[in-house]
Amino acid sequence: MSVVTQAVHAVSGLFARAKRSEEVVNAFLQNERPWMYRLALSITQRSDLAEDAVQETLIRCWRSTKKLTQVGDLKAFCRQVLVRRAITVLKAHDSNQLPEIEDPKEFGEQMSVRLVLQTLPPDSRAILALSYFEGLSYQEISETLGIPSGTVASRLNTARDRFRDAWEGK
Amino acid sequence: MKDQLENFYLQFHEAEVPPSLVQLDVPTLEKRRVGREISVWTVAFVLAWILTSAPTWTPASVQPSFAWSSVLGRQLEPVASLDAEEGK
Repeated sequence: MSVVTQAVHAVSGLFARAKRSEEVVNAFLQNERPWMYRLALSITQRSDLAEDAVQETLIRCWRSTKKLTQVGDLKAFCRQVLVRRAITVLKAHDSNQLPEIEDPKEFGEQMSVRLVLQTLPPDSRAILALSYFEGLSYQEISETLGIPSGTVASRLNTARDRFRDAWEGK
Repeated sequence: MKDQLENFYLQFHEAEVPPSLVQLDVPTLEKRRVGREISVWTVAFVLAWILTSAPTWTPASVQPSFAWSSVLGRQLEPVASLDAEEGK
């Protein structure tokens, strides 16, 4: 076999591998959309913002296909991008314009919790969602938000305190 | 309080995903996005070039160097002779 034929085989092998990798990532992104949307919705509590966050995450993950080698990495990476994007869209659509709630318990419980959560800063909402909705450990939250585990514990406590204060109408 | 938060987040596990998101074709969307980014950068580059170089332009520098006479097949009248006809 000549050198040229070997080179052609090597290049075509690389293209085939890249194509397979793209197919794997595309299938993964297709299957994981419900999970992504629900996590984004649990943070933003608005379907339009959640959809925006997921769409941006899908594009970023697709662009990063070549950097990722395992599906495990891909899920962690997608979660990281998604949560950061959800926080960004929340900050952009500042929900501080919501009406003041004097007694949140006058509404049904679900609505009351929602209204109280909307008074919290986006970072607090994200950390609560990662803990209560996703059920992640401190270590996993730390990897997702890019902060040390100790900081996760203190931020989670702060978020809980803020929620409790708002809930009790302090 | 813990129970309230846990109960609240339970509802999102069953949230229905919008069909527009399910049907989204990511590779196509990404290609469109790249096209749009290239267009924006091109326009920005041209604008920046015009804004930075326009103050240095002179009538001579913006005159085309292309020889139109070779296309038209005849010698164009020099501008100076036109001025002479008008008695300037």
